[in-house]
Amino acid sequence: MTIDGFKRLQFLARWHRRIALLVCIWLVALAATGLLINHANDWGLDRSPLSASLQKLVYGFEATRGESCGRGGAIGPDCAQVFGRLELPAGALLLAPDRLHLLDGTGQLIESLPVSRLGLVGLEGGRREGDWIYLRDQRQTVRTDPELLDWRVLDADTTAVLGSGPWQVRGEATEHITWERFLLDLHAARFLGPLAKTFTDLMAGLILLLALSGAWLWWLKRRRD
Amino acid sequence: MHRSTPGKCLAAWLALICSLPVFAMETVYQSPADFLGEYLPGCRQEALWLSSDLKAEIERLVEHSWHGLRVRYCRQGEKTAWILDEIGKTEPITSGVVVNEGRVERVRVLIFRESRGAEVNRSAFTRQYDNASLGEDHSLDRNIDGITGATLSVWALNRQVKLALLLDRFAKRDSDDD
Repeated sequence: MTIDGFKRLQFLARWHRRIALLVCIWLVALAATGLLINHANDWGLDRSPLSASLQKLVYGFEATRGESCGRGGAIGPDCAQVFGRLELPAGALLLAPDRLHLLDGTGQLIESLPVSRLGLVGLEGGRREGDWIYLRDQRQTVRTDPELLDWRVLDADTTAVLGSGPWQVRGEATEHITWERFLLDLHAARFLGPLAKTFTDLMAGLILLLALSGAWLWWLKRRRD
Repeated sequence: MHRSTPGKCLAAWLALICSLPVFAMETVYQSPADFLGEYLPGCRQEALWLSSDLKAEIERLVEHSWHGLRVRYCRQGEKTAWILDEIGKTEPITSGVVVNEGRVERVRVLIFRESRGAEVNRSAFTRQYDNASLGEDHSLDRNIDGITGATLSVWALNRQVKLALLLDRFAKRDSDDD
């Protein structure tokens, strides 16, 4: 091999190492987040919310959904889904899209009831008026007693009379960000905003470059030997 | 023309990916309201409040912790109907059990969410529980034949039926006290 050829080999090897080091950091982060995302359901990451401070720091807003649960954690991780709370004479009723959680005066869980048991498909809102609780999905409104034992579907006329009082509505609550969502954003480098795509393209390009430069290095060394 | 081995692998992989949502689908055989309307029409919704002793007994029977202070049921005379959720492998199976004087009158799987084991829905299987009662040791008075490939679902259904019988026993005591 000539001196020029040797210098070219050294130059190529040096840059190959530098690019490899840069890409390596990204690949480690990609593999680590990928591994966690792959087991998100097994390890409960798809249900665990980020801490309020971390969510505020990373996403810039705090979740209001789940705030209504109160202290004590009577319903555990399901709290992240709660979007409303109706105060009752002997406790409270927590509203979540799929379930209602009835708490006693001390915040202990009395009963957790799927909304489908009341004939609703995906709870949209709830309100209390006097002795009655009104709950609605996209199709219909149900009136129930505070014990949730005596309920009936209201007809359109009665629903219309209810008007637009103070409903606690599902769409108005901002959701908790789960760890899975956070990891997905990290995995896809979405925190870089519009640059995320360019960054991913750059990394992909560097990996291609590594593969080509590696093959070239191997060929040059083989020729030298 | 024979398809190559990589082609077969790709086809199998695509078929698996496309069928995953089907495996995970929730199947509603009958809504809880329809079940009550069919087997116990006009029944009255009531709640059985759980003492700490009863809660401990329930947890021994179902072999996991029990959340909540009460269980709702529907009553019509001596008959009670219980809509209960119990996890088979990973997802809850919702079943309805009608109990008449301490014996099972009807068992029906209402909503099945697991990817396997839906055979427990068949009436040939659920008929095995007809007239079953609960012994003092929390076992049924008969042997329930299992289903190959649906073992966890069968166990879940066994627990639901035993739980319904246990709860019926306590609901009867409550109403007798009243």
